[in-house]
Amino acid sequence: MIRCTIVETTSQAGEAASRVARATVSEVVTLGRAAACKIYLPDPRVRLEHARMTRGEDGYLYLEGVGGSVQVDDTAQDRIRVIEGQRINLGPYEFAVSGVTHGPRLPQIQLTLQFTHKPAEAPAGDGIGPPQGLRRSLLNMRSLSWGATMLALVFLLALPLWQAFQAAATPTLPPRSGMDQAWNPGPISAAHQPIGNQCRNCHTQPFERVKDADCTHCHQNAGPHITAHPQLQSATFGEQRCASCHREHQGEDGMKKVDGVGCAQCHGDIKAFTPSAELPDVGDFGKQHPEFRLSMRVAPGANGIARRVRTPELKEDSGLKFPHTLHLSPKGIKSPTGPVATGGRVVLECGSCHQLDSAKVRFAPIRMEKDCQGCHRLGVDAQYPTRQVPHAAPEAVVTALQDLFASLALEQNPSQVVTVNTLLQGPQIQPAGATTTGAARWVAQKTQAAAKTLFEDPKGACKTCHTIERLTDPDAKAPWKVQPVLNTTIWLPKARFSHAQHANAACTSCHAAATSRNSTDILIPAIDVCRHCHTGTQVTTRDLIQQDKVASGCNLCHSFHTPVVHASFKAEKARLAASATASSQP
Amino acid sequence: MKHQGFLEYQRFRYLKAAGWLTALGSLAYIWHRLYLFHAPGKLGYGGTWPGYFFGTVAAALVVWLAWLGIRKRRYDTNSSTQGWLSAHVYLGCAVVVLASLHCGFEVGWNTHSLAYLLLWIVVGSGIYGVVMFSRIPTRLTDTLGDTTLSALMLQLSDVDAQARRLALTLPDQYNSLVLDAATHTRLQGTAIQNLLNSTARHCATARALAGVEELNQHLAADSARAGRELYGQLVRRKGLVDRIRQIHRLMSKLRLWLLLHVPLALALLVALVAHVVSVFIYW
Repeated sequence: MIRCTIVETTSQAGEAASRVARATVSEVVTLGRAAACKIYLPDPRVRLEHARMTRGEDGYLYLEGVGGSVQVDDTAQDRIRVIEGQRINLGPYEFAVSGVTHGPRLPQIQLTLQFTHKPAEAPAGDGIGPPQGLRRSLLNMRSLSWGATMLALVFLLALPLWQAFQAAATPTLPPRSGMDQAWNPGPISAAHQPIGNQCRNCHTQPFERVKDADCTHCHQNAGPHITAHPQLQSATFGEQRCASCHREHQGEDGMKKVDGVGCAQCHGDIKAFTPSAELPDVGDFGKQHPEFRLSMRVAPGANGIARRVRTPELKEDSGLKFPHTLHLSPKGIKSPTGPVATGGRVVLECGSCHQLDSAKVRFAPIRMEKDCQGCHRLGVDAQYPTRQVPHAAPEAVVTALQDLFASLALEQNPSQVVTVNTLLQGPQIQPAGATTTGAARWVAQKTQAAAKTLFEDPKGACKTCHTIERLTDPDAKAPWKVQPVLNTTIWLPKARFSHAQHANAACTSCHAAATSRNSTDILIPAIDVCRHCHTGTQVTTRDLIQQDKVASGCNLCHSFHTPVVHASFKAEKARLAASATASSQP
Repeated sequence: MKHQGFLEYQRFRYLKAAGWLTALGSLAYIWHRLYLFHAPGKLGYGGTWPGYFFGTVAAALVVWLAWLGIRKRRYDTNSSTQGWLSAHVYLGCAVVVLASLHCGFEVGWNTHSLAYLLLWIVVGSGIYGVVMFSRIPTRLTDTLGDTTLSALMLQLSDVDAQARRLALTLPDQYNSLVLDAATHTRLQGTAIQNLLNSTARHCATARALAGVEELNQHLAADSARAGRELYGQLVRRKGLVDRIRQIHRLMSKLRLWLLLHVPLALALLVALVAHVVSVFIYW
């Protein structure tokens, strides 16, 4: 056991003022600022357990530092035997050792520690202040925050805002390159770039959406969606703006990429939207688009077009006989102009008759004179192959035959020439049947025979292609009626299809012309043929792999707006329409 | 009771909230992009209805996150600041996801993307800060042990006093070295200097230590003891100085990210206002 007496001397004016003694008895005497220490030294410079005094194996008392050294007689010691007169320093405390009795034979060690407390010296002016954090740096939180806020406020908000309002206030001033360009959310479409360098060209009023008037100022030929029912149009699209679908600042070709999501909102269940609608429901092209409805000409005239769903059973009654197989035979087909080496046979291709129109979108209508008559000649007599009748109505053909034979008669009998005076009286001339001269009778007979051959011979020039019925009227000059040819020129007028864009595919990959034996076959392909290459926009997991298919939205083929004829073309179109009606009514 | 940090506050309540927020937001975004958004260019932007939704939520979150700067200075509320900090960290991570969904992953050279970039920097520095807050205190404890910085400073002045007393009996060079060490040793500089440990360059204490070692070799035998003791004091001083500097370095590390986080967060608030104003001024 160690018995330690602590004597505290409080010095006052250099004299020992008072002495307080305390004793502690224990195996180990600990010194430190921890409350558990036997000698409690409350000062931050003292370690929690700074040192301890223990009895060594040799029976003497030892002082050792804990977690560091101890200052004994101004030298740092890790472990030292306690001897009389030592001065132990622990921070501001100093202990003078006296009255030590220890040794191997003594059962109890005794010592006295003279204790002096030196008050903490204020740190001399050595420049080491209390921890001040980051105060010394200019880069402190407050200045940085103000700086960043002000920079953002000036360059991101204030300057562009000032510019925007100034531009709105003075729209007549020439445009300046603006700070508000920093606000541009994305590249302007290529078509708008000439006007897009100034925000105010479209954004005319701050905090107001771009008005439709700002678009239609230039875009004057975009008509409404539902032309037939203006009320339905305004009820459906009254709230919509141009920019609801046409989004600017989406890249150079962004304006063309119109989001087709809106179409199916109404057309997906059109009856729910407009109960009186007669349209089929349409969804994604991949699976929810109905079969094409063909606008077929079923009767002559303005109302002679009917829309019929394309089915394999649907037939066209054009009034023409035309087997595609025969014409496209790989062995060729006989032609009067064909080379002798092949026996007059020429091999035809689609393009031999079907030619793209000047817009390279559709095919020009087939014309007898241009596309057929090279082979199908309208000759009257094998003796005179160059003498052909016109491709016209029976009356005109009979008249042409009369003219032909009359001229032949005249060549042989010049004396029979009618006088100039009678010729001038044209309409009053007696009909040929009433003349009694031999030449006239010959002409009439020849004409009737030739016309009968032309119009009635099943292998004759007319019946090869046309269906002709004989009229019962015996007095008719040409008692035949050719079934009118109902030629459909635009099968799918509601859709846009460019043949030129599909030039990479052969004609036969879509049109089954090579196997069509009859002209009643419809060669417009079914929708499934389109779906070989085109898929819808509704991407499913499986479709994601089908990278080779063209994702086709509604607007790939269909146009939302009814085209409005540009004002400058309106007069021209009206004039053309007037002349067309005048010519159809002789 | 086991100490509960702000990260695991209320059994990760706000981590779960942020997780749900980002998961539901991402699902809604994917669903919208796959099945509703049919623009052939597939260019997303913030003006669709999910775009406005994500933008509004993200902007509200940013304002709320910034409110922590005011909330943490208030002591008159009942809510737990630890909970606020936990929510701040987790919802702050969620807000970058929401902002990315808002912009549809489209960026450009403009105010809008600048705000997005600022958001990334602010959140990124915040995440760095969280990492620092989880690691530095342990290292500070390791460095300080059971003492404090002010205790180290008092010990330093003790050492200086003893060293000056010892140097009085020694030649003038000793005195000037000890004085130099006491007056010209830089313990801390700016945050960056602390971090780069540039305060340790040209250290007066190291210079004094080397000088005393050099002088001690030519010291007269009668004052050799004092010279050795002075050297011992300077070794103690050097150890103390190194520890104080290490503490300052750690303290700087603990706070330096805030120099990025807080000013840029304020700039972000302004950029957000500019973003919203510019979008609607040129609607």
